[in-house]
Amino acid sequence: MTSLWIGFREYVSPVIATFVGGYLFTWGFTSLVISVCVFSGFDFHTAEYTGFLLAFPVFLLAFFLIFLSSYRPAAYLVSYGGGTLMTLCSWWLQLLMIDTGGI
Amino acid sequence: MQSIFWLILATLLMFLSMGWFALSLSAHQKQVNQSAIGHSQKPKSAHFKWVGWIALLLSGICCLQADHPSMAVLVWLMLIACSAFSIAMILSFRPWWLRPLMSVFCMFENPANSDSNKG
Amino acid sequence: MEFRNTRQGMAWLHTWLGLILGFVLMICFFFGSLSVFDREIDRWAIPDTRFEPQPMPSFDDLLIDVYERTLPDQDEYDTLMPLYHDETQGPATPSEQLPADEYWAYTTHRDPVLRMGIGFRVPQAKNPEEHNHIHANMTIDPRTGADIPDEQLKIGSDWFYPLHYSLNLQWKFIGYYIVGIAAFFMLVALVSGIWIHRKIFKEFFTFRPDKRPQRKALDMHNMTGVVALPFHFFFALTGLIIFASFFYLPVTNTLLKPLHELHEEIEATTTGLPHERAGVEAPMASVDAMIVDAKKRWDDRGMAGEVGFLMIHHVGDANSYVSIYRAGSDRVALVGEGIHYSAVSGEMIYEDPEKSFAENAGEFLTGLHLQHFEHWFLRWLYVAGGLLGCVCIATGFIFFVEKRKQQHYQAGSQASRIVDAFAVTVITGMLLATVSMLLANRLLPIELSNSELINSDLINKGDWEKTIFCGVWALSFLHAVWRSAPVARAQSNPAWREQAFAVGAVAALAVIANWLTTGDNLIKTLLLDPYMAVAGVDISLLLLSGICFWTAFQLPKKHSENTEATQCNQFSG
Repeated sequence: MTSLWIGFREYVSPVIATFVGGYLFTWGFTSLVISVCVFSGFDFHTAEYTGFLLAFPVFLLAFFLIFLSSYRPAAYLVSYGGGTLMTLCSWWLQLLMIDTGGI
Repeated sequence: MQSIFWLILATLLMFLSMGWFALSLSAHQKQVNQSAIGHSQKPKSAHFKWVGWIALLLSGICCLQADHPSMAVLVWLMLIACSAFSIAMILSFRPWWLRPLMSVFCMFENPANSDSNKG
Repeated sequence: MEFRNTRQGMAWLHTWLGLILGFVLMICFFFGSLSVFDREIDRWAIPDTRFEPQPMPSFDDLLIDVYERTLPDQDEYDTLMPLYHDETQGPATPSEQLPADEYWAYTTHRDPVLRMGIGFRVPQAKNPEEHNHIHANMTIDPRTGADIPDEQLKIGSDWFYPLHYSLNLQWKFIGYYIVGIAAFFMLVALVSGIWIHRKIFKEFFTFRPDKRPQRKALDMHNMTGVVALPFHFFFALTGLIIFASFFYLPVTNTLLKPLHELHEEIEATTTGLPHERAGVEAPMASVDAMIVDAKKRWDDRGMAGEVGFLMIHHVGDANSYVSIYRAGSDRVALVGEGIHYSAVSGEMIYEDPEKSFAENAGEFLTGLHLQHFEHWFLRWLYVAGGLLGCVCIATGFIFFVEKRKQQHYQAGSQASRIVDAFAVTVITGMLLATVSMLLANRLLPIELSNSELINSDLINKGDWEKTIFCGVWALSFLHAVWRSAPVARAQSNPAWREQAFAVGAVAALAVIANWLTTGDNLIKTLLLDPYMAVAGVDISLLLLSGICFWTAFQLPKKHSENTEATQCNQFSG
């Protein structure tokens, strides 16, 4: 059991943490792209497509940069923190747009 | 019917292109050369690459003649994959089938040069 | 976990993520390849539908009768009505009295049959602003309007096709998420594979069949991965994009849902397409006349075409409108160029505008994957690409085992044996399950589809076919595990040979069974009364049978214990 736990901690959990960090970063990035595009006057569907087309290449890049980073805690900070920050910014932009009643 | 003609031509050109690209690599040249007794002429790799690129582009043009551009691109890319795989299998099991691709260059070789190569 | 350099990290990712997710990816690639011809497999499986593809039939004369006689799906009614209905407002509306809210119909150039559906609304809903639809899905013969029973399983489009994107695991949509994770790690494996492959161009055409199994496997793995790299990459990427907004990145359905809804309301005012029902009943004008007008408008835009998709919103209401979409069979991008008409007056309300660059790019990428286009040559090239992907994954497994089985033998580990058993299961086992399902389809009596019997799941023909598929696959796993003991001694697994023989035999039997039960053999379907859908499936089964028998004869009957083990050590991969 101990060796299983060691194996999980050593090999599996970094992959999971990287995947989740990359996903969170991508979530924030996508929602920010969509919000900024709509805020800038683009059609909602155009903004949506733009966000989704960029999302997975960004996710892929983020995954590699985090996993192969020489100092992973910093990479986690950027991905988790950056993803959260971008999500909040996108949420704030959405509130702004809804308050003003227009897209 | 016209598009079928262009697609057949595109496929043929793509096979030729991949064949010539393969022959531009010395390992595959040796494979094809060794499968035939007595053939010692060695066209330059650069020649094969040039004709390979030309055939590749011509194949693309044929694809565009056959279909809407969005489909032509896909046909062209998939032809690259399937042709390359086929050429690899031919090189592995029947390399002498590619000798005619080498012979194309031999037709333009200077006879004096080919005599000296025979040694 | 630390790596000496980037290359080592990439190699680790490629090896272990490729191994673990490779089992899922094999299923996605194989059944994805079959899905290219899913409608044709349906024709093979349901002989009643072996007739030529038909255009969308008359709505006014035929389709409306089908809609009006169809009731909601009883299972869905029983499940969803309690969730949607507000009990404080009175008893739930009986299923036969639920009013229809939307109609749709869909066809392609490959379909003899027409798929249709109805969304019934719940009159006294808990959340009236939500969608609240209970559905009915029908398949009809467009020549007569007769129902084609859904109990006859559409093996291609309703089993193989959803298997490739959802593993047919519907509980909480878990299958979609597993496939999504696998698709993402496919991209990781492709990038890392390119990074660690030192000689991409030099070994572009390299396959050395005279070398040891480990070297051969690696050569084939590298070659099939590189030659079809754009295909592998774009199919994994577009698969993720297709389901991005529903499952993988539902940003606009969660975080940005208020913005999405605001956009829909604004769009309703700018387009003139009513978002809500008016609550006033109104009859429907001639939909056939709208279709004629739509076709003329497409023709005027230089893109003449047939109707691919038809939808009627807010059925029976003054705000009802009809959306008519063109079948995009002549280009890669999906059904589009929608034109919308008032269902009451028949006047055109709105024509979809030219798409933006991002929308065009998105539709091209999505259409590239979903393949609505009419291009038989490209379809076969897609099948070839998908099978190259399967070979890439399979040879990855084989290389993994060949590289490590000697050291595992010396360490007394069962790891190689386990991996090899799983590899047998997802390669030959999966093939065996597939051909067994097709054979069962031909052998099980048609009376099992009798609608009077359908309430008993045990004797529904489609359910039997699914059970046989899953059962054979499970048995192949058990066989693979049982026969894989030699792998732990650094020898080859006899299960490969045995299952290859079985696949070859069953595939050939399926073709014979098709002939005996329907009278359709290759002479008839190729020459006398050509029907390429059935001929294509028969030819594919015979090719599979031939390849499997040839492979089985090539594989060693007896394993050489020391020779293989020693020679495997020569390569470090």
